[in-house]
Amino acid sequence: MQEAETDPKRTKSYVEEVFRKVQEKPGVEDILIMNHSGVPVKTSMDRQEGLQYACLYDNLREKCQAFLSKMEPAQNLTLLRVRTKYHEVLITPDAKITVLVVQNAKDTFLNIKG
Amino acid sequence: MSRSSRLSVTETQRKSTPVVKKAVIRSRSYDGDAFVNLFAHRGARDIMILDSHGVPLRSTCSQRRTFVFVSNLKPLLFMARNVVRDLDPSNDITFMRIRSNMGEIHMTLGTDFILIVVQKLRRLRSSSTS
Repeated sequence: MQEAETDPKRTKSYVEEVFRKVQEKPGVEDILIMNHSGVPVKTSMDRQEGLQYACLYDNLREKCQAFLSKMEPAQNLTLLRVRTKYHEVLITPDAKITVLVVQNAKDTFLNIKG
Repeated sequence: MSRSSRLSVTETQRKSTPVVKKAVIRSRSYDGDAFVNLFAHRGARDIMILDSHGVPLRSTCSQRRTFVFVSNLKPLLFMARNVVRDLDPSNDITFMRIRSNMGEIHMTLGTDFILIVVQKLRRLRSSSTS
């Protein structure tokens, strides 16, 4: 994803390739790819669930990006990871798309059977 | 109350002994210097311990920096918790990690306290492009 630095082109084939590569990873439950405006482009969830995930987590990503921009040396958000009791949500903002992955992270500390 | 808590943090930092005025029962997992030394060994730059309501109790950085971090990260953490609970009411957040091109911020949301660890990336810092 870091190959095209100047004018990154996020075409439909790129989105398909990202979707296919992430789906091959073990433990991945759901994948959601949004465009710059927060509209889901490709998802493996239901339509209603995908819209809900996209709306809520994109809002959270914007707040994190705003916080990092306000720091003394302005930083850019590269990865947001929210670990919950049953799964883990990873949000990777790119230049034009945002990849949201819900994976089944095994937790040996809380001892909760997922 | 918030002001006295900040003064308590300042007094704790001013004296070298870990004297906390509030009678807070703490487990040994984050007791004083051993906890800080363990994290500092693994590359943590700043460690802040808040109570469950977001009032800073202890910190390894200055009071101003602590206030800046807490005033920004507390709404983020509570917003993330609301997001997780909106999607699934039985689910709850346990850990959150914000990674940027220069550093990383880890936040642990427990029932008794909130732990914030700020780290710096040393290897990727020189080769960052964005």
